[in-house]
Parts: sequence; structure tokens; C-alpha cells
Amino acid sequence: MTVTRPVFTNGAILGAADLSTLAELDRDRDARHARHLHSPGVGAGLEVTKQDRATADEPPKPYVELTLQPGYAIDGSGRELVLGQSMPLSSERFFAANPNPPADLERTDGVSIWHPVFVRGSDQALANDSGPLGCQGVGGPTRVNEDVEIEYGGPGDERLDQTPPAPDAGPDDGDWLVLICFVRVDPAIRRLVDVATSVDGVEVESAGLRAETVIGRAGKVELRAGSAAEAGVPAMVVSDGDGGSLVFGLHDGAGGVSALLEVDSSGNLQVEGTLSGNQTAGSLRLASGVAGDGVILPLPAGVDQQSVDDGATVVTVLLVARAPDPRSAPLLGERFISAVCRIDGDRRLECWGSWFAGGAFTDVSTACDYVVMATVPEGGS
Amino acid sequence: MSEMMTVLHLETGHIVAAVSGVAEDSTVEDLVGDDGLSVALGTGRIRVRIPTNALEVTQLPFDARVLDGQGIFRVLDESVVTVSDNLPTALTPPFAELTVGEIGVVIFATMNGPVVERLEVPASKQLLPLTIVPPVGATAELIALPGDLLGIEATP
Repeated sequence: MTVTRPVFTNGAILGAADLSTLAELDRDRDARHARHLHSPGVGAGLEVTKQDRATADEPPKPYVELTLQPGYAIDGSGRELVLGQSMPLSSERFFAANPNPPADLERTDGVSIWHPVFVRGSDQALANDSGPLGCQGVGGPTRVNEDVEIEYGGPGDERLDQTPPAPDAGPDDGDWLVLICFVRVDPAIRRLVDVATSVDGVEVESAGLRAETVIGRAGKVELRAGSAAEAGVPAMVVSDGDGGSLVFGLHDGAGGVSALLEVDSSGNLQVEGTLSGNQTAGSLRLASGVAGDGVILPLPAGVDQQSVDDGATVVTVLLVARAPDPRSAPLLGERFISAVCRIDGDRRLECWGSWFAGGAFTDVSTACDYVVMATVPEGGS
Repeated sequence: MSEMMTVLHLETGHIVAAVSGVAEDSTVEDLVGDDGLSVALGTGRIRVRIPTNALEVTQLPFDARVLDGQGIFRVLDESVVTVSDNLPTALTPPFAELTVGEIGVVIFATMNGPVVERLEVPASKQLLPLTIVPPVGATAELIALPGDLLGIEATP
């Protein structure tokens, strides 16, 4: 479909179709902009608040009253969903949509598994209440309310694929579902009993931005976690100052970001904290101590056996046999000689020697000083 | 030099191995693996493998004598008690004063793996020769007796 816009000339007689086209032009343009440049989700508000209640039964059974707060979302067709007033979540409408909700088998109280709850657009035509009415009135509505409806889904509906309209199309008629929460119900009392925003890795999503390039207007682009640049809000800033830099830090409340991590235009990295995790190529980690016969020598802190087994980390071990105190010789005058001081493939130590005098040997287990060195070869991870 | 050491010991407290420089939360499996600890106590090269489940781990202040195995040591109330400055030797009665009812440990080395048994000091206080029948194929036994005695000998 080619995007068409009306052109007006003096003296032209405007029909309803011309004015409708004019109204739809902007609406379709906004929907295409939202759909192609943003991902669907909640833009503002739409929190679900909860109030604990209990039935009048004996003993009373707990349930909750849930209310969807005002807010804004865009659906996958680019249609905006505007909720101007809070709206209660209805148990009756839930059970109308889900007459037999499956029970959560990990519970013994009969409460159901989680069910997704969505909002969707709904066009509600308004009756004509202005201009000539009655027999002299024109047919058809003159206003359409772009309402928001709550829809209760079945388990798994939150993972259903939804197909966006054609690239040139305007918003749909409210077919797209935007997730706002999950609920559980107690079928015994036919009430909602719990609410959550994330279940099994699926969570209520905020509307996002689709972009391959983000260009700063004044030599800077900032990505931050809060709407206001208040003190303590984390932010990441790319700027062309001092030749260029990438900074991650916290807003200082005075318009700047106190750097916790900074890369300058020469590639120099400065970190305020400590670096941990996988070793960088060329780095060295050590473990040292004294070990007795039979024990397994430890790997340095931060080095795991898997990286050694994979060859990503090379381990070198230095052993120096310790000489026992001569006063501990079994017989007076005996001397000690180390016989074996080695490790096997599991870094298990075999370390023993012999006291001897006049050709007689007494073998004893002993200990060694050890240094275990772990390095990541150049070019490794 | 680290200030602490980690010792491996039997339930009787007898220390059979020691190491320093390991993590504070090291387990028996971390230190000796799933196969347990092969020990050759005292003179000779008779070895007995102590299974992992017969070993315990305790952190103690660094003690070079314990690490070097220069004597017999026990863990008692989170400290090291020197049982003997001499290396373990063959166990022959009579022993030091025993307490009736105290529990000792016997670990037999067999072709099918170690076998751990308990022995209780009887009213007669006669522990050796052992009244426990060695399992078939036993070649050596490690004995940790009440009264602080520790030794390895070939199974008669």
C-alpha cells in the first residue's frame, strides 16, 4: 500500500473520507514509527498493585484484590495502549476465560499454576451525541474510544508468537497482547490469590528501542538506568572528549559521572575495583604452601580444573622436599635422604624419604614445599 | 608462610596428612579426591588407603612438625596434641592405659578396597591381637587405638 495523504485546495468540498484519511494518516504513521523503531511493551506505569483480603469462611481463606494502575504501552503493531484510570483485575473474567485452571502440583493447597494477564487495544465506537439527532441525525458514530482491555490467558500463552502487520500497515484492531503480569487463582474460592511479574524466565517487558546506530548530538551518548540523572544512578557514557572515552560509573548528582571503569582513546583501561573471572592471556596465578604425602595440591584461587583440562590454563608445579628435623630420626645418628617428591596427573603428592645409617634404611613419608603456577598462554582466553 | 594449615584426621583425631595454602572451606574430597588417602605410617612402606568417608578436615594453626609428619599427632578440641615425637612403629602390647568403652578404628587394605571397622576397648582392656576378623584378602591394617596409639602393620 502506498502511503497517501490528502491535499486540499480552496473551494474543494471535503467529504468524510477525506477527513478520516487525514486522521488515519497520523495514526498509521505513529504506529509504523512505534512498530519499526521500538519493541513492544510497557512504556510507563501499568503496575499491578495488590491488597490482601480474606474470605468470610471459617477458617478464612486468603485472596488478593489486584488493580492495574494507569500507564502506557505500545503493542507489536505500534498501537498505543493508554490507560487513564486504574482498572481492577476481575476474578469472574478470569474464570470465564479459564474455567478449569490446572493446579500447581508442587503445592498441596489446590492453588493453580501461573496464568499470564495481558492488555490489548479495543476500539469502542461512541454514539453520536452532538449535532442533529434523531431522524435528522446522521448515521454512525463520530468518535471512537481507543480503550484498553484486560485479557486472561492460559498457561503458555505468554510464549505465543504474535505476527506484526505488514511494514506499511497501520495499527491493528487490538489483536496484539501485551503482558502485564502473571496471576494464580484458588479454584475453591474462585479468587485471585497471587501476582508476579516474572515466571519461568518470562517477565513483563518494557518497550524498547530498535537501533543499529545511536548518534550523540553534542559529542556524547549516555545510557543510564534511571530517568533522572540523580546521584548514584549508574550510567555509561561514550564521549569524544580528550580524544574519546568510554566510561561506566555513577552519576555524582552534579551533572557528571564518577568513573568506575574507563577506557581512553589509547585503549588504556582503568578500573576502580578488582578484576576477577577468567584469567587474561599472559597472567599468572600462584598457590603455595607445605603439603604432606598423599594430598592433592590445590589450584590457585580463581582457577578451575575445567580450564586446565581444556588446555586453556597451563599449570606448572615446583616441589622442594623438606628435610625432617634431625632430632626426629628413629635412631641416633641417622641421616635423612629424600627419595621421592613428585605429583601424578591429579596433582596428588608422593613424598617420602629414608633415614639411614650404616646401610640400613627406614622409609618414612614426609612433606614438601610447593608452588602451583597457573598461566594462560598468549592468544588464549 | 601461611598462618593456618589444614589437617586430615581419623575420627579418633589421629592426623594422617596435612597441607597449607588451601582454601579454608576445602573438603576431604578437595584434598584427597574420591579415592581417599594412601598412607604409609612409620617405618617400612606398607600402605593402607583410608577412604574419604573415614577422614575429617580441620583447620589449625600452622605447625611445621605436623606438616613434616615428625611424630604422631591428634586433633583435640581444635588444637594439636602431640602423641609421640617418634614416628609410628609396629604396635605391640602392652599399651598405655586404655579406657574401657573408648572407640578405635581399624582400616584393612584389601584388593577390593579399604574396609573400615570400629573396635571398642573391652573390659579386659586387651585389644591385641585384634578380635576383629580381617576381611578376606586383607594385606595390611591401620590401627588407631584409644590411648593415642597409631600404627600400620601387615595383616597377620
